[in-house]
Amino acid sequence: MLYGYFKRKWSYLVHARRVQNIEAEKEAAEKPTTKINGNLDKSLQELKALLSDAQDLKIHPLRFGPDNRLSGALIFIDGLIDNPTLTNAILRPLKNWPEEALPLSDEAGILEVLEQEVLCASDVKKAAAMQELAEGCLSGDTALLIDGCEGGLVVNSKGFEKRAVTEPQSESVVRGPREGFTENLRTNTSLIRRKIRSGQLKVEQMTVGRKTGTGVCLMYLDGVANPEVVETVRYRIGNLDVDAILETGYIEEYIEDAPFSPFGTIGYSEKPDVVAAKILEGRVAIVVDGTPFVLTAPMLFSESFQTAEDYYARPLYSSLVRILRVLGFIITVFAPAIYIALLSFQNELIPTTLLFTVAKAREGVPFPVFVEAFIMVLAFEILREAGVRLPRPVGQAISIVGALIMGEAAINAGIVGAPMVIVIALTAVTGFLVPIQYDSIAILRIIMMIMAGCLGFYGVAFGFIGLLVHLSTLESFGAHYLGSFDSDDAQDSLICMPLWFMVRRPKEIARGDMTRGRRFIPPLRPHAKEEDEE
Amino acid sequence: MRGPMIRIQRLVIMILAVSILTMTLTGCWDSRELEKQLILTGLAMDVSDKPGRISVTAQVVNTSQDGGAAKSGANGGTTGGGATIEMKASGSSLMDCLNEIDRNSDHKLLVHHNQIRLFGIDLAKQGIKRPLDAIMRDPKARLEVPLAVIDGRGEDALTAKFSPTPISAVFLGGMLEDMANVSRQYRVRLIDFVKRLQEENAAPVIPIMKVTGEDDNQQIKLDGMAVFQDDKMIGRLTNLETSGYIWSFGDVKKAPAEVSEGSSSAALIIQTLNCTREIFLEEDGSVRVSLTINAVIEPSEIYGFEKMKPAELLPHLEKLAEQEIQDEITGCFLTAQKLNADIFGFCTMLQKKYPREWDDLKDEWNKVFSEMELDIQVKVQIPRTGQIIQSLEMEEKDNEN
Repeated sequence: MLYGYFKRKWSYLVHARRVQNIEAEKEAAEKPTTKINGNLDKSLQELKALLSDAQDLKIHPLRFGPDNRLSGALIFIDGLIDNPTLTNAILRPLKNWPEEALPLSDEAGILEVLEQEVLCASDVKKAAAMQELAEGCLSGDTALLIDGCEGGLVVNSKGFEKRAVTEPQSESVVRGPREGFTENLRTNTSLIRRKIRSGQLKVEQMTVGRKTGTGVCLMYLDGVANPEVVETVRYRIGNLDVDAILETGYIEEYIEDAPFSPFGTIGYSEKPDVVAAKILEGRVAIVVDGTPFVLTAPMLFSESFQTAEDYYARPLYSSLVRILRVLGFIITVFAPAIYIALLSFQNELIPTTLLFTVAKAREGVPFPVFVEAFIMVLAFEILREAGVRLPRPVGQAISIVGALIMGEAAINAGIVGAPMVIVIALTAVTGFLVPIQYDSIAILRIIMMIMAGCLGFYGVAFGFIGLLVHLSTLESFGAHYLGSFDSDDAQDSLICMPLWFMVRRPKEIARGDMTRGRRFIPPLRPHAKEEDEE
Repeated sequence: MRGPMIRIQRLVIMILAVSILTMTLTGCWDSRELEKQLILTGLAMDVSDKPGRISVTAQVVNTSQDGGAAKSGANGGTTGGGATIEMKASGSSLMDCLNEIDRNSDHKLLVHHNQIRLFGIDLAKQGIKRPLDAIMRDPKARLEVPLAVIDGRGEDALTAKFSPTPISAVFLGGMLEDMANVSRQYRVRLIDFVKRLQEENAAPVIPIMKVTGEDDNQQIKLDGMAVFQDDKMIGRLTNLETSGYIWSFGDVKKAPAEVSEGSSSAALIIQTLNCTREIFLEEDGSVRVSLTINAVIEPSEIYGFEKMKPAELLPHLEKLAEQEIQDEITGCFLTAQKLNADIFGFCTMLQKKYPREWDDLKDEWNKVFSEMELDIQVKVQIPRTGQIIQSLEMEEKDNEN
């Protein structure tokens, strides 16, 4: 029965993919283009039709040139353009066309003259097809059509409301830069560029999404990033045929290596310094327009335990905190499972005095430990979910009502035992030590609890081994997920070695230029050489 | 198309196989919910009124909400209901009794956390092989649980209330553990006892404890050691002889001792005491054992000795301590010879050192043991005098001079 189900599902998937490919090819082949003919009115009608006669499409007819003998129209979408740019870079030069200075040749030459000599905009492109004009308008450029010209101009005049660079909400630091990415693609790439002033930093622009046409940028260090990874990322994103890309999550889901794994295989960050550091290690950054998150690939498991501050604080302390995070990960995944296994299977493993206390707390609790733990974990996830989307003051009220009042009342009413509340509280708090893996933690925790509830410690051991096997089979763009625990790359995994020690880029990721600097043990002494000679 | 299908097929088969195997090996049906368990803390075995039967008392923790178990850790109060419940049964065997206790309750007996196993002195005299056999066979029963013989009935020690620990079995277990820090010989675990039992001609010993005092102010103290021949108790060592027994094994830490001379006395703490044993088979067939003891002692209280100068006192105390240790071991050895019980394990030493000669000797071991000579050499050092150098009285004397 299962077999049949899988068979049907699989053939559906394969078929769907094939059909999709054919359709995509058809569409690509039949993408219509309409040439711009010299008739201004007709062209405007066509352009309007292409943009579905949108009300925010502004058409500004004007006469210009020597003796005002040229008539044309500026077409732009209100709200997407920067009005001062429109006035200063386009309107003013057109209107102030010096009469004798530029003799006009034939009609085709007008565009040339306009592009190169008249307009003061930074980016002017010639367009032959109506579709190019429409696309330009949609991305905030201004289109210029001239009567009698078989072509048009697309002038850069982008300018729309955007959020300022502010401190990121998801990754706050005590020490370190406070700037975060914004929703604007150019701002984000510039933020990264400002960190890495090197000609090796490559920026590749792509457009993804049939309807959204979202700009996507790949950024990597040429000669440091693994060319195969770059190629893979480019291929996967380039071959995306989807309606919309609204956030990096879309891209992540479409291109990740293990879509069914609880573990994410693509990293993300909201902070330019973090992304810059990852690029410097040889990763590829994927910047997507419209979101303050930037993806980095490949991602290794140990990245979940790293924060930007690890490198800004002193290495001994960073190592301590990092080990705590790994411990926290283990505790938050296994604590409820181990508690269940201890209480309903291996009672003999509990220290005797603790057993008395726990046994007394459990007396009169109506549910088996597994059910009790499940209720508590679910309650916690519900509270978290309820608090996280609410405005901060309301969220606090929720957590007070949920955690304090309900927890206290549940113990007093004898519905759950006090030790269980302690275990769940510990689980909840340690879960936040590794925010990047929060989703996988929540899933694994429940899986482990079920294993423990069915099989006791035997089940937990099974789960643990299964988890290890799964982790070791995971790959992210060709890099092994557990690769950083290899002896070569261990300098920055469980412990954080001093920066002057980490002179080699991670082998799992970087290719080519592997050395980051000269290895030495501080402090450098300016007169050391002379002293030696003496 | 074919490849993925086969992969999925194999995956399904693997998942099925793994889940069937794991589920049949163990599963939810093996779960033991904690609230369905009676936590056994102590087990006492006594002779029953009817001949050939034993009476068993099991002490379990009272986990009900008004019981004192959980509070016990914090303040030791036993408000509202006792911390423990004593369940009694009598039957022809230990298992019989435990089954009865199990049957007469809605909970199951959890034996892993048993702290101590007690034998009434009468049962010890009759022999304890049968109950031990049952315990040894049970995979759930731990071999590390200490044994003790109670001078009186074992159940009395379990029902007694010792403050501040309200669970008497935990109290007894903890007490034996404390003493094991002094010397491992004080805590005889089941596994030690059985090991000694299996050695040829060896006589195991188990500490004897005695409950004293009335209802609310009950106390328990160590009262010598029970000497077993085979599985029956044949005699006992006094407290002094017990000390001798302990010294003869060495590896003693922080043990108190006392020496006296006339009206003067000194309390000493044996910081470390090590003993090297050697056994010799003389040519005339007699066996001689030499014990070389090295002890480091610190005086903890000195009273009297007014006539001695401080410089003379320490060597004098060393002499006294050496004599005391020697006397205690000799006393213990003589008692053992009288009982004809080789509590020291000399037989095994002989057997290991002279395996060939042993074949001839083993038939007349009893005679050999009763004629065995013990050669004891004690060397005591007192390197420090504690926080003060002289006694308060001596100081006055010095000033007068």
